[in-house]
Amino acid sequence: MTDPIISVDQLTKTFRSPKRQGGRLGALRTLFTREYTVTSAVSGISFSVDRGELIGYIGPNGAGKSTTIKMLTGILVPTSGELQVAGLVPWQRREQNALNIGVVFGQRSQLWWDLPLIESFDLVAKMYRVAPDRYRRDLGRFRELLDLDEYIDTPVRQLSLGQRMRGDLTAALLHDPRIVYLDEPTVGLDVVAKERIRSFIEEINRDRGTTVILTTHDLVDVERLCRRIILIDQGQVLYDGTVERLTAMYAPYRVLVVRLAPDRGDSTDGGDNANHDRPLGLPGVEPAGREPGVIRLRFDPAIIGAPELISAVVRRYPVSDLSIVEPELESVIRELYERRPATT
Amino acid sequence: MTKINLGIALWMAGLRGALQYRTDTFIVIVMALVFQGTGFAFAWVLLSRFESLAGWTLGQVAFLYGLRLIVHAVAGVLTGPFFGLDWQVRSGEFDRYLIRPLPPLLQFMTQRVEISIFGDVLGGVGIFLLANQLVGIAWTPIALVYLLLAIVGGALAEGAVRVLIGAFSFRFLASQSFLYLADSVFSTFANYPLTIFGTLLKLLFTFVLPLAFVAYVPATVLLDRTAELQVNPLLAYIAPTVGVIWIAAAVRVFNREIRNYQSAGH
Amino acid sequence: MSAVASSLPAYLKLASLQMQVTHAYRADVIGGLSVVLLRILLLKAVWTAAYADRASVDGVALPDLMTFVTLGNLQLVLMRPMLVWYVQRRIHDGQIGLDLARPVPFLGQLFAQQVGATAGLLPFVVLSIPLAFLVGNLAPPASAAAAIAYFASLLLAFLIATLIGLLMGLVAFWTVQSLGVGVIYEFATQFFGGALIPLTFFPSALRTLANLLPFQTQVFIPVSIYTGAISDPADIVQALGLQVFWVAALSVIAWAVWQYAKRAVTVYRG
Repeated sequence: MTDPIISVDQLTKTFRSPKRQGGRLGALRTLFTREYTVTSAVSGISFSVDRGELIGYIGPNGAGKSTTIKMLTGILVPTSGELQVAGLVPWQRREQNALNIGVVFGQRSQLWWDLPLIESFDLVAKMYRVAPDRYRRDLGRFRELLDLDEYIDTPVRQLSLGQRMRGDLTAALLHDPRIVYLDEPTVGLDVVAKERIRSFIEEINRDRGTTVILTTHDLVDVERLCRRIILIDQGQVLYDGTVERLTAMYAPYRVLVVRLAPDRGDSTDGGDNANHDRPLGLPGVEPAGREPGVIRLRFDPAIIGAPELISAVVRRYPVSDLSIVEPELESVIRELYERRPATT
Repeated sequence: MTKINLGIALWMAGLRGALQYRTDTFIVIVMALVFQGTGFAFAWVLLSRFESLAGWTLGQVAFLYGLRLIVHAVAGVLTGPFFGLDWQVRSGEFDRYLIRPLPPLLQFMTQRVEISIFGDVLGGVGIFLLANQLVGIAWTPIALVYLLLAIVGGALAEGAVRVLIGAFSFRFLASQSFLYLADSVFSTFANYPLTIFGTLLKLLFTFVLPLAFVAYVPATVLLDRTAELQVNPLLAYIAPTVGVIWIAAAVRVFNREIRNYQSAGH
Repeated sequence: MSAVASSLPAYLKLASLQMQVTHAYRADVIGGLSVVLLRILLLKAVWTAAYADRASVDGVALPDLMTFVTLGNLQLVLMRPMLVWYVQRRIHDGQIGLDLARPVPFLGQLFAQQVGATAGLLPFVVLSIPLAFLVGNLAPPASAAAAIAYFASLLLAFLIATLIGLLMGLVAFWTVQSLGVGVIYEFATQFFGGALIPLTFFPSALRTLANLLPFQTQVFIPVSIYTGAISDPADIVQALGLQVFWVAALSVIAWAVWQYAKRAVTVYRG
């Protein structure tokens, strides 16, 4: 049993900033003030990550996601708690920690703004002491995978967001880090670009076994890529586990969408009124919205299996088409928020 | 690649980046020249009417002036970016230096090069060469070595003050005004022999700010004026080490203060 | 004249807005004043060393010299022409069109802006007088007549500074390098205005050059009247006359340049 590559125990971060003084000589008084505003960004979170996992780290704005990532990467010093990444305490051994990790911030580039993209790669390769032939080979792969050639000689400040993001991803991965932190890597991108980034992430996790911590607001990213998610809110872990278990806990249902055959007329009117709460008279089945020609039935697979429900539906209605829809992660999470105990 | 080579490569990148802005380059250099030109013109006109300043002739004052400008330029080579540290700390741009495998201070100092240093160097060397025509210095190998050490030591001293002031950006988020103030103090007073100032200033510029060691003390050694220092001349010879001590302390403080970095936006 | 009168409310509004802007940037103002005070401190040390126990040189006594230098530098702070930066900024932000479209003469607007900026600086400069007195020297005016003549001269100096600032601001319509021109101007005024070395000490060739330039009318002349260096009524009139000449000359030049700039602007906008 190998040790987890990341282990976090009771990690806490509070920010103290001097309370800004107003009035005359406000700036000077702020300098000497004893009053502080204390913000608790992260309070006592614990989790561990094994090598090769691809984890979604999600939560609302201000939940403490970025703060956690910044502690994991060594940017911030924790107020208390234990933290180990690949055997190191990040903020104590920043440079060694940096060699093990790659970081991409969706909203901020780490490339050299005024220089052609290729020069950023050259500098990064030098910094991380990547051997020249390995650099050439790996860069060639990235150029191909991410289509970098068309703009690799353009100054970074002239690149579009999608191009810059691909550049940042390459720069972060050039030294083949063991762990990669991606903070909102698909933000602001169009659908095609998003998908390209997602498959790229999937590929590096699969082919190179790179551990990936993905922070995102886009739950499609999560659905697409992550088996395990850690949900954080108000500085605390609300959920840590697989998406399936989360769904089973908070939205243990699926929806059967029935498209009715048009020429047979809507013979379902009135007939079901008596069984409104239990359409078809079956347990574990609820109506879930109704449109002309379409019936949606929400059912709990634990109570009634899909095949059984389908045959009942087909017997009862003139069906032209059927599909089964999984609950969206978004609704699952919303359900979780609604059900969690009120926090102080 | 050793850290030094890496530092140089990064610095060259910073220079290339700065040179992208063609128009700014020219104007910045001209402005730097005008800035020093006025200061030196003042000293020149003054000393053409008055024979000496506290016993310093025109040539000697020019020597000090030119030396100080060269030191200022060298200090600016790595510490120019400090005037933007405030903003980088507040906006979270400073993050990137903490997640790359090099000392954050080194990365920060090489990110961009202040083009004005080239104007300073031009002006400084010009005045220094002029001074050499007026002052007879026997440039023995030892003297040349000492000159080099003096320039490096002085630059370290002036740079250390910037690093120290910048270090408190992490805690207070405001250092730019103090940087400008310190810069003004150095630019105003370091060009002149310390002897013209009152006791309070003399003490301030020796023990609180290393201003005296930026150019004045080494100049007294090279001009053979160590008698006016009222201390053992030996202490004057080791003036460059003051810069080393200051920068070592400043770097230590800076790296410790990084712990107070709060980044930005959550 | 009636044109000016009808635009007066607009001018006052612009001036008062600019005053508020100056107040908002008071950190910068205080920073700038600190730098000037440091300069005065240095000048005192240098001049004291230069005089080397002599009571006076070339008829100038050290305390008078210090008053000269202190007052001269404070004047420069007060009359610092912000129009170079103002016009440059408005062009850069694309706001210049708004200014040009106002039903108020553009040159008048610029003038009002400068008046506002100077008015905004006035309280700061006045408050720094005690400090200036400490680091330098600030003796009272030579006489009541001198004081009156000084204020007249100061007003003329302000007009000259503003007109030059206006010219530099107009240069911004042609090139970004106008900022460099602004910086050069500041140092030229310090040096050739006599705020660092009274022109009395200039070698003859340099003195001739300085006499031809308008900068001496901004610093040297008013301060000389204040300290009584120029005390003969005939001399005072002559000095003021020189200032008036420069006001007139610069006004004509400014107007001519503006006509030229107007054409350049319409081409640009078209």
